[in-house]
Amino acid sequence: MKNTGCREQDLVTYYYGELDPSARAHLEAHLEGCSACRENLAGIRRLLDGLPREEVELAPADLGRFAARVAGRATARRSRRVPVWGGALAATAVVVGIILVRWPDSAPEIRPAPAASEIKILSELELLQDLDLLENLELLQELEGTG
Amino acid sequence: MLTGRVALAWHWTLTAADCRDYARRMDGQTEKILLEQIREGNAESFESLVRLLSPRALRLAVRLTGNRAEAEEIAQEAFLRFYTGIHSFRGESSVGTWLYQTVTRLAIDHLRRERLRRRIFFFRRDEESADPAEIIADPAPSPADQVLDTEARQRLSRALGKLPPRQRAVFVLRHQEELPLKEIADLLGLEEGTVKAHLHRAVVRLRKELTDGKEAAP
Repeated sequence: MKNTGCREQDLVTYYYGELDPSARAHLEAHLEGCSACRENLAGIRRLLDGLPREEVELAPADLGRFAARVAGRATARRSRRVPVWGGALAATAVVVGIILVRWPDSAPEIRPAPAASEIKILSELELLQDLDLLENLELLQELEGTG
Repeated sequence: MLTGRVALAWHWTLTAADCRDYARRMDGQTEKILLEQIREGNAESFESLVRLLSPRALRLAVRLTGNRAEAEEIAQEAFLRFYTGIHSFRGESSVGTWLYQTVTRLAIDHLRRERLRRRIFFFRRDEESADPAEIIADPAPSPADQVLDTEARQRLSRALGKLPPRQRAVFVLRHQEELPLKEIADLLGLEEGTVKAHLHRAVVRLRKELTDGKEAAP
């Protein structure tokens, strides 16, 4: 049977040895009289002690190729920067010039309102950018699950 | 290649063994010299820095994403961001720490986008239903799967994949990278209490996933 003083979150922190001394002493005293927390802690230990530490093999040759690729891209990015800006400015000037010459008095085009399906897709794309919203969604789902 | 000697400065070099032990050898002064060379446009110095720091960055990215190809993209992006912004790098932390933090944040963002993309484009009704992307996926093992070739590791990988990105990151940083909670909090810009809560939720969910309901977590 659970006591009223059970703090499940502390069990995980205790397992990792990260409870401060007073909280640790308090929890250890609690564990002596709470079989539910003792069982819970034993389950956490079984799980976490048995989880494999993921060893990632990185061959020296792979690391060398990776470093060369990253350095190559960094250099390319830097050498591209000025010509790209120069090209973009030139292209913009040409486009503006054509517009001014061919349609000196043209009014801005009024675009029709997007269809409902377009709005839906747009909102989904906006959702992709809004990562905080996803975080909230996860929290809501967890609350829904626990509540 | 790490098998040869890597030129780091004008007057000295490091062996491959030294490179593997970057944290011990790469003191502040050495880092300062390298940074100066990179700022002056020395591409070889940047490549040397990448060689020295990539093992830790790649290992972290693989652990966070569970996928070697994605991990390489993330680590590469972190190095490129460092290179692009090197002139504004003030050195308040070491380059290694900066990269570690950037890789972690990029990996969390990547996992969130992947999760959201699947929800939107595959219209999954809930998290437990099979992911169509996995159903139609090539059954041949990916490079990451080849690394995680035991059944236990595959099960852990699948269970980690079901965790929300931040929970997964906190768990990986504590359990696999063995970082103290305080450091994880600093790394992710969270309160320590929030990190504890994420870690607890992650362990509860992993317990549920990995014990197949045989051992009910309270």
